[in-house]
Amino acid sequence: MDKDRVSVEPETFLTDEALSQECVARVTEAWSTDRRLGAVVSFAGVVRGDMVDGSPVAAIEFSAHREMAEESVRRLVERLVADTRSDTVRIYLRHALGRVPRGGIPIVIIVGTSHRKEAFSLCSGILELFKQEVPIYGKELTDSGGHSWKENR
Amino acid sequence: MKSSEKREGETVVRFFGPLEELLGVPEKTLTIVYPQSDVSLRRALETAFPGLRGQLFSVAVDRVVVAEGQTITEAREIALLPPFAGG
Repeated sequence: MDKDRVSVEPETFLTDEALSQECVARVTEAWSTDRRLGAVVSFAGVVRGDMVDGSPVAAIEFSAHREMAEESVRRLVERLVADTRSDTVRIYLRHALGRVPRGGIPIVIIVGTSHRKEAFSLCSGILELFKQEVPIYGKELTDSGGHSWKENR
Repeated sequence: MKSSEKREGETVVRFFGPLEELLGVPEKTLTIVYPQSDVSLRRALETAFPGLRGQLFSVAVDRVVVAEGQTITEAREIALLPPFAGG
């Protein structure tokens, strides 16, 4: 990837730390001095309280094949960025591992580009390919103490 | 090594998500005779770990998902990957 045109941060996207809306605000603020950017689109996934065997999901415990996941993300970002016309592309991507409670944020994707269409398209494209190609697993833990394995569809 | 030449190799087989729960361990070391086709490798894994039968998973050899019809000549790591759930 052309490093003058594209930046992807942080270096490793998997984290054992909790994510929050504050990180969206922090990154957006940090990018505000980049005069090439005309649009910043952010996505934060939220753990829903889906009913599993009659009990709401209390948390999802995420795990991963870390090395494959990091490599998968690098590849899918490269593919999508190659198809993006924007003069500049900035991407921030994080996914939490470990327990994320109901209402908590397991994934944050922030995309900055010159114009809005590319930012919306790239943010959405990253999320969709992420769900299909990145080996991350989610064990849904319910209020009643049961559990079920989440599957992306 | 010629592709037809048989050779035993020690391979770490790693289980993820529901498969780790099913088998009770994150990984096991297995002696596998190479080369293997994708189909025969899957059969060998199911013979070594009968709990895998009927489970939905893809196989990654040294961190690359095995394609249909691929011949695997050696592997340090085999990862068994059930359907993904990130995001």
